[in-house]
Amino acid sequence: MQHQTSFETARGISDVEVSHGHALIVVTGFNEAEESAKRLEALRVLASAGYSIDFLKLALGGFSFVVQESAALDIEKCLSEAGFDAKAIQRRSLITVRAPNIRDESGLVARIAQTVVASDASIESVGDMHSAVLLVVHSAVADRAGEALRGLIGKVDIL
Amino acid sequence: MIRIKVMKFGGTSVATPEARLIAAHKVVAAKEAGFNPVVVVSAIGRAGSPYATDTLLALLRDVDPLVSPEPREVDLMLACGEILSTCVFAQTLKSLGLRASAMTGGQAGLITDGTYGNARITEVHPDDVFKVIRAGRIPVVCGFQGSSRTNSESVHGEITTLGRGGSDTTASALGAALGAEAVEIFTDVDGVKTADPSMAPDAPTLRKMTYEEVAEIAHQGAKVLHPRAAEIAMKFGIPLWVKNTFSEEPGTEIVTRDKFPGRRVTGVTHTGKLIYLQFDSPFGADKAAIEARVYELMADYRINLFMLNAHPSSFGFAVPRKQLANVKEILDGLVIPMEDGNPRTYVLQVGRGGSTEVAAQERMLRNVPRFGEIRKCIAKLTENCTMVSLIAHDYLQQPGIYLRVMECLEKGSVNVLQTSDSQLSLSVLVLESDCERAVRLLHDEFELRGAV
Repeated sequence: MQHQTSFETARGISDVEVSHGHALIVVTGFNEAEESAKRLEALRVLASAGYSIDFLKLALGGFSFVVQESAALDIEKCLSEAGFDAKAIQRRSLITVRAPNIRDESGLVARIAQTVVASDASIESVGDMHSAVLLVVHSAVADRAGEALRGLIGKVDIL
Repeated sequence: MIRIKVMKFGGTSVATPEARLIAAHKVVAAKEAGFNPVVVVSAIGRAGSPYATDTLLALLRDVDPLVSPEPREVDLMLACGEILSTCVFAQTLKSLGLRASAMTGGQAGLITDGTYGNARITEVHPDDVFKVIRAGRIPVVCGFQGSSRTNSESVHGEITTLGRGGSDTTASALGAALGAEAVEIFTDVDGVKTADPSMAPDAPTLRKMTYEEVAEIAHQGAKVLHPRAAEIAMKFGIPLWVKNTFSEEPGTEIVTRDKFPGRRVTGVTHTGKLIYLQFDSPFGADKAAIEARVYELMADYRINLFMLNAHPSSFGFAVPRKQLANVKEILDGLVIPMEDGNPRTYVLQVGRGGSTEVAAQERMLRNVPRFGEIRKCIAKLTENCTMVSLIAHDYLQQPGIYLRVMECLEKGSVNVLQTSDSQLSLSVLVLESDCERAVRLLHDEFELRGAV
């Protein structure tokens, strides 16, 4: 029987991982009237070709998403051949910031975003789940942003 | 070998004498099945009830609305709700011929990190709970509270409350410390459903799900078991159940991934009311400085951000509607000067209308040469939004999932304003008026009626 133990993960950021080898695909050139139909058409092309996409973000006149860098040029070609104005932006990295129960820590997502932007990394996409925030940034600045975030590990006063 | 089952009853399960009797009979049944029940209770009733947490807090705040109560006294006051509830529940058990002892969180050995209002459990010393059990009595423990470690400032430790999901967390932590065979969280629904039944009436109760799934489903808006409780149960391998006090349904068993492998969609959730703010401006190289300042203020004022979005010439995020007034107060009229030898200053405006605050700031700044060119940055507001999320397990990485989601919503005339995803969920931001339709469409598209 364990009478004295550590039960809950401490509040705030507990870990930061940086993974390289991602790319951003930006699709542009939709006019407002056909935006939704064109977006679906592009997603259909990607699905038919068997490409898995992450971090889909809608923008005025187009959309963007993240893929493995190794597949980026093939995806760009696939969309271009289907008549879409697609551009693969390579050398993107994914920063995973682990923090338990993010929704209960008001202000934590904003503090993470502030720290990344303040380290000169432009955030290109963001996702979240119960225990992590995921950010896509240029690979050239990803490690620096990761270090800045690691500086917040264990600091409760950031909340 | 003592066979222990921790049974936690939430606010509605202890709200009335009738409800308490039904809950007490569940405890009797556990005892008759050979278990030593350890009961954890929440405060009596929900908002508006005379002994509910909100009522007690109002009693303190209403003394003088201009004098904010200190966190220490707030926690002492809130703890009274669970103390009342344990005494009443222990008395209810006694009325059925059982022997019971009410215990505060501190008496049950729950030690916290000492943070008022949002404490974390750091240790559990269950010796006194065992003493009560060995004496043939049923411990009835206050949920949502613990006691800080004793130190030079506090010889006896301070009562601290555990924040959101506190009573679920108490039950899990006690279950882990006592080596319980099971922790049962009793509520007023049959378990975890595939969707909010008020929106998808055919949503079935899931018989099994993983700790990760239950944590994500709660993160994305479902009001079920709190992720903190799931985290502790997962860490210590304690079988966890969500059951209905008022039915004999088997409930939902929360298990480890190896006990419930496979690829599947778990459910569809929706969050509360959100407002989306989109900052569009010809920022150029100034975007990073403006973005950093906005995020810094959102963090300093503890604003919860949802669905962050970034483009080279814009950025945006959603905030809970109840925080909009706060956000407006912080950002509307905010002055951000760029100090790099070429003076220019941005004035933020929240909403297209423009407030007198912004106009006044602009007028004043234009008269001071050192602020240089004055540029307005308007945050466009999209009001009445909500987030609908598809929760899944090893599923979302397949090609074509985004297409299925967007296509089914398009066919159902639901306008998707933005999207967001992770390994465990795919979310769409939609107008509140489309929320119910979006939940139903996704529930049907992914055939969740047949989920078990």
